[in-house]
Amino acid sequence: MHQHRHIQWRLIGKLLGMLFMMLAGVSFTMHYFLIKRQFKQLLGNEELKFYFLIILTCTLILTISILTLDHYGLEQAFRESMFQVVAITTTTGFVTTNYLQWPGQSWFLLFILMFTGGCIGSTGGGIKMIRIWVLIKNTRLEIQRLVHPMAVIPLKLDGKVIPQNVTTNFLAFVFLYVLLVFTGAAVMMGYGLDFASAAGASIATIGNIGPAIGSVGPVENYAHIPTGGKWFLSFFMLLGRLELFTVLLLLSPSFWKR
Amino acid sequence: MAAKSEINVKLIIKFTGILVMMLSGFMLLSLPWSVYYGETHTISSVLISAGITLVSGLAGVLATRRHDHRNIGKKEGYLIVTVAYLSISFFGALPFFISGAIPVFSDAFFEATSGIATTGATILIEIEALSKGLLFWRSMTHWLGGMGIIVLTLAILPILGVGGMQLFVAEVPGTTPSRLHPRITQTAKRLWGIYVGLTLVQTALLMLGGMDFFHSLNHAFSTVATGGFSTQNDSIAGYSSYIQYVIVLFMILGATSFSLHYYVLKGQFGKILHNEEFGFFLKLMGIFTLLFFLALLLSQQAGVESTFRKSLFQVVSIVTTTGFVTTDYMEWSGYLWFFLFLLMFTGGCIGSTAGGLKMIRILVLVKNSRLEFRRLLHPMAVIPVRVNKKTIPPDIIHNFLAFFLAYMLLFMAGSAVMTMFGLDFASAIGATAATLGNVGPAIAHVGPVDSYAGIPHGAKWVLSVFMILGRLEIFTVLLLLSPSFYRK
Repeated sequence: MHQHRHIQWRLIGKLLGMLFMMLAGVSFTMHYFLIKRQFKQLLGNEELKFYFLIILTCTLILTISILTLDHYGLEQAFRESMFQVVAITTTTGFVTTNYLQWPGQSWFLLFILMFTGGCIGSTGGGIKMIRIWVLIKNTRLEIQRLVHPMAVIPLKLDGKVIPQNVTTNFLAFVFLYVLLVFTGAAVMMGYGLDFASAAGASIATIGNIGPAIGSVGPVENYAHIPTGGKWFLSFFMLLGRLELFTVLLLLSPSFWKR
Repeated sequence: MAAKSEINVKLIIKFTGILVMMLSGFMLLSLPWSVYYGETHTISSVLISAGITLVSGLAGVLATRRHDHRNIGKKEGYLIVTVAYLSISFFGALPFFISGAIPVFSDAFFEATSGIATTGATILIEIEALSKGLLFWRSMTHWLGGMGIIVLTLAILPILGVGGMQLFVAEVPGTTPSRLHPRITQTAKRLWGIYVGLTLVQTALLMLGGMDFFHSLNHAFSTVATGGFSTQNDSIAGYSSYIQYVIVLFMILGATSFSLHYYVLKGQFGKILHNEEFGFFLKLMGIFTLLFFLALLLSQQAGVESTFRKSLFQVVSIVTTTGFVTTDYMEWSGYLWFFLFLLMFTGGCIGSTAGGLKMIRILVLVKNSRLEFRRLLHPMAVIPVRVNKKTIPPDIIHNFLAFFLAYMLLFMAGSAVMTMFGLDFASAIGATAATLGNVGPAIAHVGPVDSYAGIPHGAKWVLSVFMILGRLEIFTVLLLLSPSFYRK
């Protein structure tokens, strides 16, 4: 009986945890609109829709991919998938199960989600939903520009035109992000980590997530990484938290020039 | 009279038919080798394959013979190139399949695609077991894909008039055709002239090193096209140091922008010295060669020259997206082969036969990232990116960045699909990077001494598409998947 109640509480705790992670991954401006009862602002927000779309799609894919594991029922598979997708997408990093024991394609999906991050203006790290959404839209336009090179096709978000220098800035951000992830992985391999762990450690620290894959997976920790590597990863966490440019600016010579 | 923006399907069938007929002609070129080496089985299967190919192409041309082919629009241009590459891969697979050398069609298709896209990824385990005629065809697919069979068609069949421009732009992205000559046929002739010249010179140099004519020609085809198929199981590892250095030189030449070769012929050496992309290309390879050389020298007990040669060869082979191998680099320390993995993304110069992201894009994007910081400090200032002392327009930078993003998105999606086929993490990532970048050998289970034979058939088809995506620079192919393309 006691045991049963305990499990019930754990379930409620997980659901609550999931809910608040999801809320924390939403732009805080949206919470303000919610309090102000400006629901139209919420419904019309493309980033918010994209955020929930990603979470739902990935949860569904993950549920299907782990459903065949013998000890999971449909409900449990869904719950574990959703918890893990939300925890990674919002860059929280809580863990309810060792996802590395899932099939390779299942945790690879989580690995990709480590890049995304929550909405802009939230507490999440990562590349951020708005950048990804704008850039996906931009890729579509860029393809259209092949056929109509002279046409000016504006990129619209929430009904407003996004100027080209903003998309260029977003793209430059992603370029830098990917470059840094690669660099971080190279440095970690230099410290003797294997391929998956090095890539995982690099992406999980710059994305402010925490648990990664390989030897720095969900049931492992970063204790075994050499001290130099820990300093490096700490720097990476700051880089990610301050959205790259702020920190890297200090390293750029033009900042110190008067 | 059809509406102007409607896609002209007949035109696409007609032009693909012409290309397929050309292909059947090239297939026959492997016959002399089979005759010389007395391979009767190969002779009959090549004849059957060439026959099927010729009849198919002819049927396409005859069915649309009354159609005017002079007005190829942008949309048709992109469609023709993609459809043509798929058809050529299909028909190119026939000699392997019909002869029974590669008994499974998805394997044969993978091998032919890998050839035409100049990737060099192979599903063969015993390469030397192939007949000489088939080995020649295998190298020939590289050679046709390198400078582009469509550009070749433009050069030798002057029937295409104005529309050729669209095809040219779609097959050799990045070369502004007017740079070499205002007329498209002349540009195509010049490019193929240089290409043939390089191939012949390399063949001669390899023969001077003691390689026989057959193997020299095959390796020259693979090298100048930055492909990577060798006629030997151990790739280039068994050859002398002289031959390895010759191959290094021609991998670099093949991955150099062909307009630079043209300037050399014209005696305009100044343009080469001031070309930032070429400088960046050489510097990148130089730095990594030095790094590998020093790291290997400290960790391995081998001679100085052979260590240098190994480092140089492997760096050049990966950066130029050729994919020849002289050593099993997976035996090196982890960070060293990880660097090689990263170099699989870079690619050679634009307007060359190499794949990958291409040097000019990386150069411009690195420069742009630095300027992005200055823009942060001075938000209102207009700070241009300059290459070769010329300002790069914001549209181009934007396009390069979008290309980089599309490349990375495809890379991730491809890796995800590979894990679904049961590949492990490193192999999935490696196979995708090496096929999208047209490199060939990757890491882990698809490493330098392994082949793609063990990969599930479904995965082979996906990787074949990725090779074509890489060869035609992504957007050309992705365009066909966007619904707006088919709207009037």
